Amino acid sequence: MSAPAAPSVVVVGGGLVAATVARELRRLGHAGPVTIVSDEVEPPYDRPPLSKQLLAGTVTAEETHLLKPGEIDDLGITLRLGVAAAGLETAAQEVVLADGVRVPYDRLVLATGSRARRLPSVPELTGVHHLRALGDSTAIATELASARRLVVIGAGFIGLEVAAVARSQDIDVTVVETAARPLTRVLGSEAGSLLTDMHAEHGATIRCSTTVTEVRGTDGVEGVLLDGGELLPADLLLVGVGAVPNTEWLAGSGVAVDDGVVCDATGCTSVPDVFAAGDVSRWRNASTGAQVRVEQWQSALEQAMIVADALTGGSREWDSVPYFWSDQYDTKLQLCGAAGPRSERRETARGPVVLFGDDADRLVGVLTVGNPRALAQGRRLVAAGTAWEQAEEWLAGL
Amino acid sequence: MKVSVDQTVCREYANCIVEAPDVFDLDEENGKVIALITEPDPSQYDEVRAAAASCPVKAITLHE
Repeated sequence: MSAPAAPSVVVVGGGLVAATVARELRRLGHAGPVTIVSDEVEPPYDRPPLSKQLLAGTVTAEETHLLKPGEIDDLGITLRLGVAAAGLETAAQEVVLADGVRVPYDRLVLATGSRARRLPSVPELTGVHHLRALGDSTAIATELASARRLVVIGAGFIGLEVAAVARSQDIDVTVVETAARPLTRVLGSEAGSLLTDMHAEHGATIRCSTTVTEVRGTDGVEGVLLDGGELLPADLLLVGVGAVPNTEWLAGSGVAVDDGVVCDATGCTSVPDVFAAGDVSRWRNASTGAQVRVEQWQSALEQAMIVADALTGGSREWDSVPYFWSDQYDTKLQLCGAAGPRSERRETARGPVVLFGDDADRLVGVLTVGNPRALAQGRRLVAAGTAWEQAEEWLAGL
Repeated sequence: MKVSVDQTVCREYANCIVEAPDVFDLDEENGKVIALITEPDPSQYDEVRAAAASCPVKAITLHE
C-alpha cells in the first residue's frame, strides 16, 4: 500500500470524542499530525463521573482524564488547551482561535460538545450552579460539604444524579420539575414515576408540575419561590435544564447547523473534510434513517470511532441503538432505544424493566433498573426490530 | 489477542456484553464482568475491541 503524504487532523473540543478520535486514528495507522484544540485547560476528560463519583469523592479529577500523560506522548498528539475556537474558514482550511492564531488542517473534527442551558430567571449568586465542566463539579463538591438544603431545578439525569449524591450526604433535597413527571422527554409520560418513587424512598422530594418563578438571595442563594407562592429555602441551587450545542463559532463557515452540526451516517458535515461527533452533532442513524442529536456518552464514543474510520479511508456507518445509563443511589438505570407510544412494565427479581413499543407493534426501547444483563439483551432485541408480542414473552421470562 | 478483565473496577454497565455477547458476560453471583473466552478468534477481534472501548471504566484489557 503506497502512503501519500499523511493528512493533518485537527479536533476542536477536548472531551470523549477528541480522546477517542486521537486514539483510534493511531490504532488505524494514521501517521499524520493530530492536534486537539480545546477551550478547557484540562486535557480531555470523561464527563459521566462529574455528576456522580467525582461529587461523591470516589473518583478524583485526575482519574477522569481520558488520556494519561504517557499515552499523549506515545500517541504523538499535540494539545492546544485553554483557548477556544472562534471561527472556521473552510476555504482556507483553518480554524481561527480566540487569540487570533490560525490552525491549518487537512481534515477537521468538530467536537465542541454542548453547554448547560441557562434560565434567564436565575441570577448569578453564590451557591447557584450549572454542571457541565470539571470545574463545575469540583465547585459543587466543595459546597456540598457544608450545604444543608439543595434545590435542583429540572428533574433531568444530571439533576437527579446530583440529588442522589446530596441525599447520601444527608442534605435536604427538593427537585422542582415543570412537567408532570421526571424525564418525560426521554422516558415518555409514565416511566418517570419510577424515579419519583426511587427518590422518595431515599428521602428526596421531586415536585412535579411545579415551576420556580424566582430565585431569592442577596450575596448567596437563600431560596426559590414556586409558582404556588411557596418559598423553598436553599443554600445550594443546581440548574439542570438541558444542554445547548456549541455551534455559534461555526456561523458563516458554510457548515450546515440545525440544532447541532448536521452529519451523514459517517459523520461528514455539509463541507467535505469536515466531520463532527458527539453532543454538538446531529447524525443520520443508518438503521432508523432519523437525524438525531444524541447527548449520550455511548453515541459520542461510537461516532468518534466511525469518524476515525472515515478519516483513514473506511466507510463505516452509525447504525446502533442509542444507549445510556444513570447511576442514582447505587442503582443503575439504563435505557436503550427510545420511549414509544406503548409501554409495559414488569417488576423482575432484580428490578423494574419497561418495554417501549411503536405503533407498528415493534419494540423500540427498553428501560431497566438494576438489571444490566436484561438491558444488554434488550438492546439486541431493539436492534433486531423485535415484534412487540415476542418482546412481551421475553419480558415475562425475566 | 488475549483478553483480561478486572472485576475490581467493573461497575456493571454491561456495554461489553452488548458488543461481544459470546466473549463477555456478567457473573451470576456478583454481577461483575467475566470473560467467557480469553483468546478470541480473529473473527471476533472487532467486536472485542468495541467492547473494550465501550467500557466506561476500562475494566477490559486487550493484549494484542
